[in-house]
Amino acid sequence: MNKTVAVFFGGKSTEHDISIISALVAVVKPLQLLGHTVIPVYITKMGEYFSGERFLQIETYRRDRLPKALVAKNHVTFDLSGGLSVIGGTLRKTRTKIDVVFPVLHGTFGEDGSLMGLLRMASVPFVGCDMEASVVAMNKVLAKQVAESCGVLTPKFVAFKKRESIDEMVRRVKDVLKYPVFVKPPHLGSSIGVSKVKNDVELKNAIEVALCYDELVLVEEEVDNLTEVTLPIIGNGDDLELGLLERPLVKGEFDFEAKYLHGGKKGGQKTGAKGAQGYSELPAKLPPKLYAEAENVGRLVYERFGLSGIARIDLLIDTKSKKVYFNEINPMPGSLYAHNFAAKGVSNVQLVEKLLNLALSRYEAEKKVERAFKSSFLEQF
Amino acid sequence: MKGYLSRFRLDYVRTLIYMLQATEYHAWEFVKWCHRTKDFGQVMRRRVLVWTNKARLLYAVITGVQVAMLGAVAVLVFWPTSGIALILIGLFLLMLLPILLEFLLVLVVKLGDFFITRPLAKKRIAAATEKLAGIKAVKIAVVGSYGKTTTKEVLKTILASGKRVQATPGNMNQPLSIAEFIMGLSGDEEILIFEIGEYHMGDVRKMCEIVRPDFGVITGVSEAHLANFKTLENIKKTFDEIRAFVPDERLYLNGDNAILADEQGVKYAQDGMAGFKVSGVKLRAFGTEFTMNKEKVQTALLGAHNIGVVVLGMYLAEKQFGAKREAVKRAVAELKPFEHRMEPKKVNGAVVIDDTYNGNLEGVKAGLKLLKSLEGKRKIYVTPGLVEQGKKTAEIHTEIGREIGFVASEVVLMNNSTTQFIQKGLDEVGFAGEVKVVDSPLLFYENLPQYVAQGDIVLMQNDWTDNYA
Repeated sequence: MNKTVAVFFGGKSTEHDISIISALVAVVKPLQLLGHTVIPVYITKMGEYFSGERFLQIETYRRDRLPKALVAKNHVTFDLSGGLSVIGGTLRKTRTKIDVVFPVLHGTFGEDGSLMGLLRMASVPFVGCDMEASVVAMNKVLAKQVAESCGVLTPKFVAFKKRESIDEMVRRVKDVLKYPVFVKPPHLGSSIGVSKVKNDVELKNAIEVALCYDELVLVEEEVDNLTEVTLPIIGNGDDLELGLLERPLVKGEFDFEAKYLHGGKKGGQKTGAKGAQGYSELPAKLPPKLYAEAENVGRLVYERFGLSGIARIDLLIDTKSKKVYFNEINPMPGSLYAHNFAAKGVSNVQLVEKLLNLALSRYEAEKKVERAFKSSFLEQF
Repeated sequence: MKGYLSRFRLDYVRTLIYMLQATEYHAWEFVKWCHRTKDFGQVMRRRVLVWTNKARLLYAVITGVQVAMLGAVAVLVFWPTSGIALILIGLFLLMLLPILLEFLLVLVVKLGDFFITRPLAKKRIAAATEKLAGIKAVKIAVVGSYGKTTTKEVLKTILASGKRVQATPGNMNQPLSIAEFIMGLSGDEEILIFEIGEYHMGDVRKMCEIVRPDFGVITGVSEAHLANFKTLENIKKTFDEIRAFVPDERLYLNGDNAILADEQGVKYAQDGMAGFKVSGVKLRAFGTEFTMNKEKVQTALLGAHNIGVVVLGMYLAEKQFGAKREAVKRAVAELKPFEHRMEPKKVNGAVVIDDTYNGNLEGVKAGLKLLKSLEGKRKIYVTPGLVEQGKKTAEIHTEIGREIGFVASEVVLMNNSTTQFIQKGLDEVGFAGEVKVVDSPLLFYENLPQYVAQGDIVLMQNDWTDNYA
């Protein structure tokens, strides 16, 4: 049955622009082809909400055109009582009841569980990971701690809060870890603010950069004989559908610029499949046993973290010792990692349809959980 | 009423000329199309008007008349002394204007055809006939309901392994276009290949009188243009008109076509022909491989139905024109699929075979045979149906539905007059896969990357141009 689907994208995040592309390319078109009514909900970098047909066109987001779209008549608010309704219009108010929400937000105030909390309050089905899993997944420090508690290997790390002195941070890193180390803002994706450093001076600078983006900073050791792979997975609970292990073919830094602004070609080889994030080896060429082991680790992480809908698990492999380390989780991978699923035989339309169905089935299961019970507690007063 | 009001659009005259052009200036087809059009704003969906000199001239004439008539209407309605009668006449004229313009256009085309086009064409054809008679090249005429262009191109490539060869370009297969081709020849060609089209009985004879072929090829007889020919027998008779020019021993017939199987002539087929035996056929998504007289032959052409054509080319090159086997094999290896004719592409990991220029039942069967032989996760068959099937539309499309039902796992149809019959055929064989009915196949083609993935095979056949809307 055709549904009214609100697609949330943009957002107060450093990955705002990537989110727009993910939504328009990988989500809106398949939803329309499936016959669903798409209500775009564009969130500006300042956190304002806008909707209307024009927000489905990529041209709208050009610097010279966007101000013309961000006007009062396109501004929307929400009613959370008895589901989610999008309220728009200026003189004559319009109200659109939403059947399903498809959040396509990357990074803060969206992928990190914030939006999921709001949608849970509205009691509306939504695509992708639920609030708790998103919160844990998007905090790289917390995620590594949870992974360790599940018996999954993860590179040695230390974490600091912004209020600590940088000299103290450097001293502790030197005590616990060995160079080179990676410095990361724990709540960001798309490699923003990530640095690889080899000495104290570089470490200090990298920590300062990371703290511009986050209240926390994560410093972790490099994995030797490294092969980096990613594994997108869809499903709820035990019934999981794995994508292909994919290996980014970028030597050295795989930063935001390399991933998105140069089509992933920065220093990369010209072989392999051209994925959403540039050139990659798809499927990753690994010995069958190691491939299966990486899949098992990915599956275990997905299950233990309580991920649902879709997520991408990033793994680090020491090809010499054959050890597979957990790196991080992307609860909403860029462009749904549709290129990876397509290579596995799942078309974009099928992928979006599956995600919608997963959202609905999780919602139905959630509805069966008793959230209130009769009590005579108030009678005492 | 809403449909009639759409005739008052500003681009109405341009739309009319587009419709005339799309029907190749066939007045009756044009009038029929006009009268079944519900919205003149939705006519140019697949193509646009090409501004030829003829189109420009017609546009100028009809627009001039339109302006003059609007002026007359304005005078009648707004003249200070106009009474109610004159105002009503003016308004009546205004209402009638679109129809008047439509028939005026037909009149101008007919008059132009009678006084200008035909005499000029006759002159040009006579000059071309005379020129060709003076060219010593061996002439090969290719006729048939389907596969003419492919056969002509395959023969051209293979015969060029030892001779200087020219062939009529694209699917230009009418007297005037053949005459233009002849006028462009240098005269030192050794082999000339002519594709001869057929819309009415007598067409093949007329064009053979220009070409005077030494060799003939009948690629197959099928229900193409049945609306004009009425019966299959009439179509066959039209192709048989070539027999008055080419003796049986130099007339090559496609033995894979059941109607030609028992006819007089030299047969070529997918299992080979005289002295050229084919075995070990391997059909692939990006080419075909077979063994001919113990030698492996590879071609990028798709489908078993093309093997016979390749073998005919090899036979003619070696037996009639003395080419060496190695040179012939090299030429065969150079063959590439032709645009929109069994042309394979990779789309989002899936194999998409574009056979949209195919327009007949035999071609549909050949495509489905290929689809059946290929391995795929999903086999998606896309067709808007066949045009010009006349009274046999229901029968042919039900048969197509049955054939699809045995092979495809998913079917995409266009919402038109043939849809119900294809669906009936699918139901008859208990097809359990998904059937998607779309309004615009073009939109579906554009969004194909969204629908397919690695392991899928998509076969797109047939075309449904605007004039069949």
